[in-house]
Amino acid sequence: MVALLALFIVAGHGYDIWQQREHWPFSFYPMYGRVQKRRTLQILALYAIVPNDTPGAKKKWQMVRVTDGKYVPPLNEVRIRNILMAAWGRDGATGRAQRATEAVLRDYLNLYEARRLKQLHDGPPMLEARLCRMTWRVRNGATRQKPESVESLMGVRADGKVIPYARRAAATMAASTQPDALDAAPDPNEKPPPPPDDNDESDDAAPNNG
Amino acid sequence: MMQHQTTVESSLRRFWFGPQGAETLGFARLVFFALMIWFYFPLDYAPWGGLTPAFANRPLFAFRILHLPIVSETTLGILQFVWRASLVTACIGLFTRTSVIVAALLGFYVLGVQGNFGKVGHGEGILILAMCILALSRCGDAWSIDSLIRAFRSRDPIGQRNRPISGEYRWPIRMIWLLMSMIFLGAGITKLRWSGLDWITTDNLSTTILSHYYNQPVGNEWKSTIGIWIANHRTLCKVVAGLTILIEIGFPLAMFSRWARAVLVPSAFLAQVGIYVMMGVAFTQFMFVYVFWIPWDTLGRFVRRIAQRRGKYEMLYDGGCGLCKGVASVVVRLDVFGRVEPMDVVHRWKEIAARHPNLTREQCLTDMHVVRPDGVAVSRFIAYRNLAWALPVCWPILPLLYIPPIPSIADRIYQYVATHRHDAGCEIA
Repeated sequence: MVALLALFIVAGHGYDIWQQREHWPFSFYPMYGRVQKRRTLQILALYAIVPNDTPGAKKKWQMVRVTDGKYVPPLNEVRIRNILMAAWGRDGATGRAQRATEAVLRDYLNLYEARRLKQLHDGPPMLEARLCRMTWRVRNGATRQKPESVESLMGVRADGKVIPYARRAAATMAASTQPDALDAAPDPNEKPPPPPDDNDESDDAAPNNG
Repeated sequence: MMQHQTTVESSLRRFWFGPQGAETLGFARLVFFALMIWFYFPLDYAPWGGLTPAFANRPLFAFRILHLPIVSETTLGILQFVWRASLVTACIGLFTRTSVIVAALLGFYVLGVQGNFGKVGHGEGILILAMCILALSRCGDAWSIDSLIRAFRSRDPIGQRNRPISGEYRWPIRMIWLLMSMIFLGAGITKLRWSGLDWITTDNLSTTILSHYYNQPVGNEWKSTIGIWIANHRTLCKVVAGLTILIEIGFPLAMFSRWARAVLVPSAFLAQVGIYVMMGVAFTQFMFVYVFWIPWDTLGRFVRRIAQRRGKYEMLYDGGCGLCKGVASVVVRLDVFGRVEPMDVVHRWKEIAARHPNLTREQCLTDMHVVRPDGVAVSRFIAYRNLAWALPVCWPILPLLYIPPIPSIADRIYQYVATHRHDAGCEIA
């Protein structure tokens, strides 16, 4: 029995290490495995479009980053980001990615609103749930925490309408003036970026997040 | 050739089944589950059952092939309750085998559920596998209520001193070492396969540390001056990166070499603490498994030596009374410092009389007596209260035993039990 158990543990982990695939509770432990050469950081985030109650404000709505897990527990900021990253994939180009992202945004908005109407949280009404991509330039000293750009990728409104911002942008600005402008001279031979969560162990970062 | 084969076989046998006391495994089990209780009790997993399928967009392989559904919030709440209860019973060692099996099986589900939502957590996998190993072991033979019940039933206080030694207590610990070694080895190989030596020789670590300060949940930000300082010293980052790979790849050596163990295990632990200090990434759950690397028996011997300098308590019990022998057996079992010497009044009276001429046999057979290290003899409830000083498990309640009217009530209970003990199966009056 002991030999079988040892074989099970070695084979389980060995297979995952060999195949570089995850079969929980076995794993090949990929965290921080991919070398980070570029000094830019791109992260997906969930934004909420909510009414702007500021007196004298020009816009009737404002865009707020959803950072609190109280709106739809247990989805804290890190977890909803991971879910959105899993749905969106590398670039959200496929129909499947679009549908998966749309479903996540729609369900988040519905759960948020349902809980708000039951007064389970004190957030403002959500007009639209929007997936955005934030970009930072990594600086020595990690100064300037504010992202250098926030790019809308997809939104789902309260009436169910889906707005594919990324596709629209791609169609109208064919050559791209916008998103990855921070990378002054991207290497044409460079491999596409890894799936966003390969280096992200931040879920474990939040102490009581499990 | 034949001889070589025999040597390898005997080495393997010694590695897995070399004789070992039950204490290390039992105490490691207790600490391991206590840490799990501390970590997981404040967390509520039930709300995962209230989310829609759209969020569960990364189903775990195990959930997929076993066709495990994400159950409702209520059902998950019930499963979580049973799981927590099993953690408690596994920790205190009550129905240990069953408790650990339930803890492993339900833990697999309850902790696994969240892994279907976007990202799998790496802290839980090792816990599940460690619990599976413990479920197959005899980890409840020491430091458990089960062992106290067995001691009481044995009615053999002297026999409790002879703790069992067997290879059954060695292989579970070695198996957990193997598990941890595979994990570190996997992490090291993955880094080298994905990035090669670039992981060490480029500014990778510096960028990784700095990037992490941007990639943090609002309200739980982590910015460490030490982390920034290290990130700004590129050569130091390369040295740290090199050492990290070395520790990870070399970790399996810790299984076989005492020297490697003394270096690699604390290094890996400190490396994980270092990641927390630099980046705020905590490997809390993962770190629970380090308790199986601690030589608790050696530490125990050291503490026992110090504790025994404070003298011994002689416990004089009625060796003709089943109840008295049962209680004395439990006391000896709880006496982890070896400060209580059980003395059977029926069979060792001559020795007792020689040591303590002021005591009479009748007195000692009527009431339980304890002779303190200072030579003073006390009896009845006071005797038990004095014994409590020698038994660490009693220390939390020790102050209560001095608060009136607890001593008088306890003494009456003692008197009632003592006068009725012969009705409950004592061999002689």
